[in-house]
Formats: sequence, structure tokens, C-alpha cells
Amino acid sequence: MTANEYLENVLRAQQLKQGELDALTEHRSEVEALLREKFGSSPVIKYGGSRAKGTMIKESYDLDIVCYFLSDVEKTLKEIYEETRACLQKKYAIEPKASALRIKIVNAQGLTVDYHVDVIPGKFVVGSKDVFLYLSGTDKERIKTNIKTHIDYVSGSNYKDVIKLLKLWRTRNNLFIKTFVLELLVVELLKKNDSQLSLSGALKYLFKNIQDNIRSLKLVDPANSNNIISDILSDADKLLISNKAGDSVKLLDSQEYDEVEKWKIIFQYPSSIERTTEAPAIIINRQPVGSWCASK
Amino acid sequence: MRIEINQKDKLWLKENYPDLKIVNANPCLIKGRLCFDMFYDKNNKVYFLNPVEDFEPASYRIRDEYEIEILFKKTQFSNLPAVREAGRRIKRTQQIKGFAHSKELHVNENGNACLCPKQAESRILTNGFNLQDFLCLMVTPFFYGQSFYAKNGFWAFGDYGHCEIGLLQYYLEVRRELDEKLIKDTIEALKIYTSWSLSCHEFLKNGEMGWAKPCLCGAKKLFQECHPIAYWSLWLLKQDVKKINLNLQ
Repeated sequence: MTANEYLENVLRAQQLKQGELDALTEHRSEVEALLREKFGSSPVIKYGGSRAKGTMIKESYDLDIVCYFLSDVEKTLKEIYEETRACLQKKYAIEPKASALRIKIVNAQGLTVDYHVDVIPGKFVVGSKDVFLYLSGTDKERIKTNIKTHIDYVSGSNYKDVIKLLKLWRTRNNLFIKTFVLELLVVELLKKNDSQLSLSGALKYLFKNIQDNIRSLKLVDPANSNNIISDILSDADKLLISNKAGDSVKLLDSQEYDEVEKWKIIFQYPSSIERTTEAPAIIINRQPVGSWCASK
Repeated sequence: MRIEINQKDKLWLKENYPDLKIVNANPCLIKGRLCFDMFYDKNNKVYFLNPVEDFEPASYRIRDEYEIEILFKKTQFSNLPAVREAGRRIKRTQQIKGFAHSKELHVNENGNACLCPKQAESRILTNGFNLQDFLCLMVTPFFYGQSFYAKNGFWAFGDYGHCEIGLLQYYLEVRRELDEKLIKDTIEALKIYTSWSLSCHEFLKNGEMGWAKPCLCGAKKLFQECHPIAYWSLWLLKQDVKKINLNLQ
């Protein structure tokens, strides 16, 4: 097997099964029905995020559903956000994010579990396909963006497979880097390279550039040049990502393993953790106890 | 519960957690990297350490590592060794989630991890303290919980409220038949808090809490409205104390 064949296998294993996709479609219908019941037929409700961009991976996915109100709706952005939240709260537990509402459900055991769905309320800008999103808990009250520009930017880039692999690398290395930042990073770095790169070549190129440049790289929202996406990452995050990318570069440059073995190590979990798998498997036939806190 | 480490524990530690080292003998201090691979089967309420096969959903399998310290010294809040994260992973989650205090992530103000409600300790380590059970049944699930929460924003196997509220929630959850040890352990754990002298003691002795008493959590709401489960638990505890004729003086 070649390195590229191995990476293609990794990608295949990250495809969501039909049952998982069906469940997501069902979740969307359920959420849409709830929103339509409250707001009628006027808001535009559609997929956003990795589902629309074709970069979803099994190991870490959420379904983004945008709910955009027309520009002539007489509601402020805050009212739209709060009303959407109140509407969803009739059926689900809601965790408010900066501009999205994360849906959770309470299961039969009384535990709040993730539904893998985020709803992003917004309002169209007059005479444009751009939208304003409400930003809760931040200094700015709103941000202008355009989901179609984002989708076209990523899905039209021909780098979707590389994005999926880098998302997997991020997830397995427990790195804090928002998906949209990662997508922009991939597209911005790869479009500077003129040569036709294979999957392994593109990843190696990315690791090297992330290691060297992530701390100085400026990533701008393709839908709004005032929105500097790279500012979302803290210096500590950038350092951590750069170091992890550096580890991968070092491994790929080493002579110690054959090519496929190197990629296996990169896409397995952090190397130090591998040692624990030599320890015997243990089944603990009880529910782990939840944590407490002794401090008021 | 005696907390000490023997030769068998030392050998087990070396084989199973080679990145954790004993760096001081008395009091015993273990430091290093806790590496784990754990899958929690939420449907069957069991969990697997170092699973050899893939399970679904994959998001419930976590492989991670934390820099930790385990100091064999009891505290007023726990009869077990004090566990703390020496790295900044939990601090990072706290920042990302926008929590003002680490206690929202079950870390006390002194930096010690709150592994479980105090009265649960002897119910989990049913054979007394040994390092293997402590790491597999308490420490690893705690850090699994941290990684899971950081990724998913909720606790994989639930969590308990702070202080007395959590102790009472746990009591209600595990109370099946009259269990004298559980009753006594719960009361001992409750006694640490000022609410004991202000409210609980009086209530358990005479059944008088006073309708207008504020909630034990510190909110200015009525206890029974603010935390009804804990209130119901305290009421049941009162019945149970009566049944075993426990002198609360």
C-alpha cells in the first residue's frame, strides 16, 4: 500500500454511514418543523457548515442549520436570536454559542446529550445575500457574513479531502482550532502552491507551513474583509498547533519508518498514548461516577 | 480508609501507567503523565479501558493524556489521595467555556480534582484503597470526563451539584434500602458545611427547616423551589435517620 492509498482508506473510514446521515436529516426536519411552526414560511432554512461544504468527518461533526430572516422583518437581530432560542427551547435544551444555538436533548437517564445540531439565526442585509449574525456575549453586537461565499470558497477549492484529513488530525491531537479557521488555513496555504500535490504531498506541505507560518498568518473571512478569522486563535493555541505540526514534519522527514507507517502514526492518537494500548483491556461493569465539587 | 501504596501497586503502576512515577515516598507523591484510552458505553452503563475493538458512537471513545500529581494526603473533602492536574488543560477548558471558576469543571479552589461526592468514595472502592482501583475507577473516569466535556460541552455520565446539593443528589440516587453506612457517611460529609449548623441539623433532628429558608446552594430562593431534588433527598434522609435511631448530637 502506498501512503496515498492509506490516506484514502482513512478518508473512507471517516464517511458517515447512511444511518447516521439519515438521523441527521431527520434532526434537520424536526428542527425545521419547529421553526416553521413559529415563524412560518418566510425564513430561509438550509444546511450550512461542513454538511454543505462536503467536509464532514465521522469522528467530529455537527450539523449547522441556518435560519435567516428576510431583511424586511421588523425584528432586531437580538430579538431574532432570542425568539429562535425560545422556540427551540420548547423542545430541546439549548446551549447558546457566540452566534449559534447548540441543540441538546435530555435522555431517559436525565442526562443532557448532544444532538449534533447547531442553529444559526440571522437576518439578510437589505438588497444583498449577505447576512448579519447576532453575536451574544461579545463587544460587537453583530457580524456580517455570507454563508454561500463560505460554501463556495471551501467546496469549490478542490481541497475537501485534505480539509477532512486535517480535521481528523486536529481532533486526534485535541487541538483547539475552529473548523472554519482550519478550512481557511488549508485553502489559503494550498492556493499559494502551484504544483499538483497528492494527498500526502499536500498534507506534508501544510504541516511545514503551519509549523513555520501559523503565528504570523492573517486569515480573512472571504465574505467580509473586516473579519480577521485568524484572531480567533490565541497565541497559546497557535504555538500548540505549530508544535504538533512540527512533530508531524519531523516524523515525515525521519528515516525510521516506512512511508505508510509514518502516516499511521500521524493519524493515530498522540504517540505517548499508544503505550497504554499495551496495557490489558479492562471492562468495568459499572457506570463511572459523576464528578462533584466541594467548593461553593 | 487507609491510603497507602504497596509493592504490588508499584509494580502495577510501572506496567500499566509507565509515565506516572513515584517521586516521593512519604507522603507518597506520584507525578507524570496519565495516558488513557477509554470508551464509555452509555447504553449499557459500563466502560472499557484500553478497548481492543472499535465501538459506536466513536465520540465516546477518548484517548488523551494529562500531566497530573497524586498526593497521598487526605483533605476535609476527601478521604482519598488528592489529585490535581499539573498542566493547564482544565484551565484552558475553563477559559474556552467562559467559566469564572474551575469549580464549574469539578476542580476545587485549591486545585484538587473532585472525583466524586465524598460519601461515594467507600462505595466505589469497596475493597478499601488500592492504586489500581483508584486509577481505574476514579482518576481515569474523571479525566475522561474532562476531555469529553471539553469536546462535547456536557458530562458523559452526568455530574453532581456543588457542596451539599451534590451530596444530597448522590444520596437520593443511590438510596435503595436502609443503608446505615451511607446515611452516616452522608451526614459526616454534610457536617463540613456551615449549612449544617444553620439548617440541616435542625431539620434532620426536628423536621423543621422553616418555609422561608434560602437554598443551600446560596441562591436567595426557597430551597424546595431552587433545588427540589436535594430538598426531597434531605427529607428522605430525615426519615432514614429516624428509622436507624441515629443520634445527631
